[in-house]
Amino acid sequence: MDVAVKIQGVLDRSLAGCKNQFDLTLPNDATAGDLIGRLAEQPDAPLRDAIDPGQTRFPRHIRMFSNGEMLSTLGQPLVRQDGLGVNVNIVILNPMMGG
Amino acid sequence: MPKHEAIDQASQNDNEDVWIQSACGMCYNQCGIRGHRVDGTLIKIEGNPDNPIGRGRLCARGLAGIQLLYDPHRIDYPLRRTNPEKGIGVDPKWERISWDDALDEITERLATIKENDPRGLYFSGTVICLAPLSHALATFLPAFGTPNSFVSDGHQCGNAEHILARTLHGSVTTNPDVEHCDYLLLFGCQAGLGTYYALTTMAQDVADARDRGMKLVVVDPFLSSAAEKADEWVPIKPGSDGALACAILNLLVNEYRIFDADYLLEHADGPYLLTEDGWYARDPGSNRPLVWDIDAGKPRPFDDPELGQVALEGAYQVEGQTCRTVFETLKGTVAKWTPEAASEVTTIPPDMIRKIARDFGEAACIERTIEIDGRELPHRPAAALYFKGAHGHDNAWPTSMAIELLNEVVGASNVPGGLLGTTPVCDGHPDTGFPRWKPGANEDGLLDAGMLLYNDPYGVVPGWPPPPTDTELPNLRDLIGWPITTCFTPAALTDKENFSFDHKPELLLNYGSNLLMSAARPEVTFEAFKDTFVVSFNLHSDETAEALSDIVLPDTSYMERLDPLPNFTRHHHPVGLGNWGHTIRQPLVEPLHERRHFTEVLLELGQRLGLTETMNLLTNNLYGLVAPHALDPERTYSWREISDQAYRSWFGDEHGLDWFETNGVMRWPKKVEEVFWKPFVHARAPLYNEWLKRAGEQVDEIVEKKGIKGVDTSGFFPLPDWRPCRAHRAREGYDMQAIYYRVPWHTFSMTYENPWLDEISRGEPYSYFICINTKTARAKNITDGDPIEVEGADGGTIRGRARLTEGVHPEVLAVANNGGHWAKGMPFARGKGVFFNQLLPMDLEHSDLVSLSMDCDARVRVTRMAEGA
Ligand code: SF4
Repeated sequence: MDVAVKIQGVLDRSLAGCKNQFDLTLPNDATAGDLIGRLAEQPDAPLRDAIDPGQTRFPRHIRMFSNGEMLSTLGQPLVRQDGLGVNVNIVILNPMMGG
Repeated sequence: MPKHEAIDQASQNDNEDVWIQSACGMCYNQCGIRGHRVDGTLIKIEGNPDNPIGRGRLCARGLAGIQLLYDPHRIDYPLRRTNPEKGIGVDPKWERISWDDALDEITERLATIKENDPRGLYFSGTVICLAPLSHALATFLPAFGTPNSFVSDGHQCGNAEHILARTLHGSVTTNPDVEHCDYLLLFGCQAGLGTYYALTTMAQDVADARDRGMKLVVVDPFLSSAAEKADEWVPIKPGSDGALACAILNLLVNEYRIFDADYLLEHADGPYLLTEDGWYARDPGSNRPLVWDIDAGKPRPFDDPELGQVALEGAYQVEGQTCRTVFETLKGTVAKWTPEAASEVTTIPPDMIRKIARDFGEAACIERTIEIDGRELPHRPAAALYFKGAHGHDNAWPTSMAIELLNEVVGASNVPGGLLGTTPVCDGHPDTGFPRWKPGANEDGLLDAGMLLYNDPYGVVPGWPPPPTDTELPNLRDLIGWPITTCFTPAALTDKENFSFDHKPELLLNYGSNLLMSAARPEVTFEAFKDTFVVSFNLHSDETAEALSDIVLPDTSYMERLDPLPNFTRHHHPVGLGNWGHTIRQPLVEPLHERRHFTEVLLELGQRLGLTETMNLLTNNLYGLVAPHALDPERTYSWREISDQAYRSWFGDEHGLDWFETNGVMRWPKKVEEVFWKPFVHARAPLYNEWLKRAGEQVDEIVEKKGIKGVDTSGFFPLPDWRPCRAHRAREGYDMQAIYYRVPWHTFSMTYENPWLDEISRGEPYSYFICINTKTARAKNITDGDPIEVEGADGGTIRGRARLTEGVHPEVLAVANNGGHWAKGMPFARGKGVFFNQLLPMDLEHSDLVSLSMDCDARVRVTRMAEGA
């Protein structure tokens, strides 16, 4: 399936010099973790060090949305129904955000 | 439009007579209300008996809300400052402008800031408006790209209590299960009796419990609304509550040996072994904390399936080191707090301390069980609770720890009769399973909360507490990131020689907070933002608006706006059995004049700035919206549409916005496992805060590298203890401590403009006066009603009239809330009561750096002034 990925960051500065749009092709049953793995292979992706491969969940400051819906675990599939293309948005929050 | 036209404008709808369900917003508790609207005019507000939040009862503030709606001194239109001079007491010379002009200017400035460095946007808010505050913090601000937010009532807030509510109760706040409690011990707190979370529900529950025979003991320097109803009032020197709690702990664990060994072994880290230098002893292979297996005669990881009988007490040899259990170390740490030692500090007689300890321990009935809904549970009918009076000091952390551990050692934590976290477990609505969260255990087997301030569908994830990383944020979130709120930003911004931030506040967006009055001495806050463009969203032209704001936008009151989930984080939900309640806040009348809802304006600003896509995604995140109700990032939604999606996502398509507008509240019964969750969740409460020891070392390293002075981490202590607060230090000529206390008919400084509440203050003898003990006053030649001056050893002077009373500790001056407004835009409040915060400096020295709690008492001297001075 075709996956269009857009990465947005709370601190635009943290993305300086990084590419933030990717068009990838992944297997139909690809998971959030598979996508992260693929992104980590891209030399100019901003998420290279953000997620430890041993984790099953996202760090608190990374939010991944598949067609707008938030994914909870790295094992969750990107597309649930018909295997059509999917838009993925990844938002990097500032981990220090608070009141 | 002249002011009196407000009523005319609201009266256009003839022959109307309706009751509308909604939520109160006069404080953070969001009690269920019904508004009676006749011909477009709101004529009455009363409690909604169908709503579990309040169950039909309101406090005085809730009943007086209508006076806020039609207050002729409300801000009705956008205003621009025409006086180029800013300053405390300076007339801003407002001119009315249009919304378009206001938003054009704000957008232009924000676009430039975003382009240059988004951290130039600062945001301050108030916890009173929790839903719009959360929405801003979790959507607009991250989408814009600024981490620079703070809550100006942060020093009135729970600070240390919120951290411990998290680590020990999986929540943000706590309340006792009074339905099954026989002995309630309150430290500087008025739960169910004056102020505090879930007030109106708790008031009914506490009254029932008192009827049933629950004993109430209140420790407080002032005869507060809670103390005056207690079986026993224990006057204490302010800031010494930790010493009292340590002495009670000492008596319980060392002298009386009243503790719940099973609880400490199974549900706390009591048996974990500590190395000689204070770290958990860990298994070299798995890195798991070790416990001592008595049967095997050797240490084993706490979760080893082969474990035999585990030692709670004692010291053992592990790899050449003498390792004590956490419980043994706790016993040793508190041993020095004999009743006599604590009496020196607290001024409470040793026998009284012994009696409280004995009564509390015996009331806990270790080993008693109770059957509820067919489940047999531990029953510990004793609870200790504290709030600002006890932890509003620069020794907040060790004090709070000591009080919390009273519950932990007797096992009265999240079981019937004990102290409960506020809704840490929710299995969701029976039809949809939403919203849902639950605490779990981290790798060390310790409790980690599920949902906290914002919806976090990830549940338990690694990464708390956030490790100290830097000192670039004036709210100190990168250095001390674990407190939920802090108002420290102005202090850091003005401490220029010490902190050298690489960005400055270009625009301050101030929502609903009067930060000049609520965040300590106003001069500090003024200095911090005097060169910043300030946009305030306000009900009144208050002190902050007049001194600092360039543009003031007219906010809606809670009676004029839609908040679909005003208490969606449920920090103010009643604890204990009963019903869950999800309430709508909806307009009781349409917004009068040109007032607009802050959240709607942020949606518009987001659109103007091109942030809608990210804001939509973050809205999905905030409310946990799932398909088909997740917002499409490409679309623009109105606030009504977003509210509708949130309801449908949580409660199903048949329960959208229309349903809530008609029915007001969604209820369903709580389950025993949700309320008394501790026996059902295998996660240990940390009596020992190893994380804090580590954090202290990391903070030291960072501040040393950066050359920042005044960051003292000696209070980053993993166990309870007591140390004097700043106001205890002897200062020649300053012989008293000044404190503030809360009255149940005011919310911070916010409600002083309300004439009905003013009437209460005028009708009672204390709250517009400075209370002083009768004997002390006589010794100082002060008589009742004399004008007096209170001068702080660390600066600041307040004046008022003396009220002589036996109901205050002899070394203490007590002031109610924060009155003494001076803004021209609040003519009714002006000069009423006393502005206590003038006595409070805001700096590192007067703060507890673990919780970012400020010292809310001051060393002072008092003198009688000449009449008319
Ligand atoms: S406790 Fe707070 S929310 Fe409840 S009625 Fe009083 S002011 Fe309103």
